Amino acid sequence: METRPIPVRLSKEMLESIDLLVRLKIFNSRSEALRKLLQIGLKEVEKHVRILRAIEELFDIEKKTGKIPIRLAGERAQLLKERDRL
Amino acid sequence: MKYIDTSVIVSALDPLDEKQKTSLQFLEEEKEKVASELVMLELASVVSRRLDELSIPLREFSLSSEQLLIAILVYVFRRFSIKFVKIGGSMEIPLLGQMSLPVAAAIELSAKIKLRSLDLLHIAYVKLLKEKGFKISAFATLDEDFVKAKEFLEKELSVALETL
Repeated sequence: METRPIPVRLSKEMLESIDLLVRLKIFNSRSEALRKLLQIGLKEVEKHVRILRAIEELFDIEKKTGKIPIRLAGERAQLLKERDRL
Repeated sequence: MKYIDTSVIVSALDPLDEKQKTSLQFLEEEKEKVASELVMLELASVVSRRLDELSIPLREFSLSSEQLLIAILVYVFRRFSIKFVKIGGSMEIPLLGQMSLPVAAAIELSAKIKLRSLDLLHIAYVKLLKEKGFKISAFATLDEDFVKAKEFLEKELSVALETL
């Protein structure tokens, strides 16, 4: 697998945690630790990818049509009526 | 920074509302806007009633109704650049014990202002957000019932009531 270096700024606390994982031999290096932790984080993101793509689609529809694709016809009056019940 | 009531967001998306243009223009022109969990909940309730028709352009994504609802809520908040703020924590009410912070604050407020429970919760959120350091200068709404809280908002919280 081809890898590329990227500059990353980390807080002191984050770096200390990474170094602890390396000292405890959970990972062999800072690079390996960051790669594995990023993999875990990206798996979490993947769970939400379809939702994120749908959000992007809503913005695209607006760009194409010039109209906000969420129409809540008559709902403002309904909302105020419901508040009256509470 | 202005606290945005759900009525303004729903109005901006409601083609049958005579205030739609005003609400839309307001949301697009105001720079700093904030809304609470309660606004998110009220908007979720409104959107959920329309979920079937709103799902049509997003069919290809095969989202569950929960995922679809989240996608729409996130889109609306991002579209209008509204900052979504949650208030965690709890507070002790004498003889009643620990309660979630917004509910406890709303109960306290109910002794001072006579409002419907949801309205009390909105005012409680404004108060708590101010205490958290958010510089809220106005409460923007299309619900005229909040006029009952105008004096409290202005005198106690230095927040103007902005009825669109």
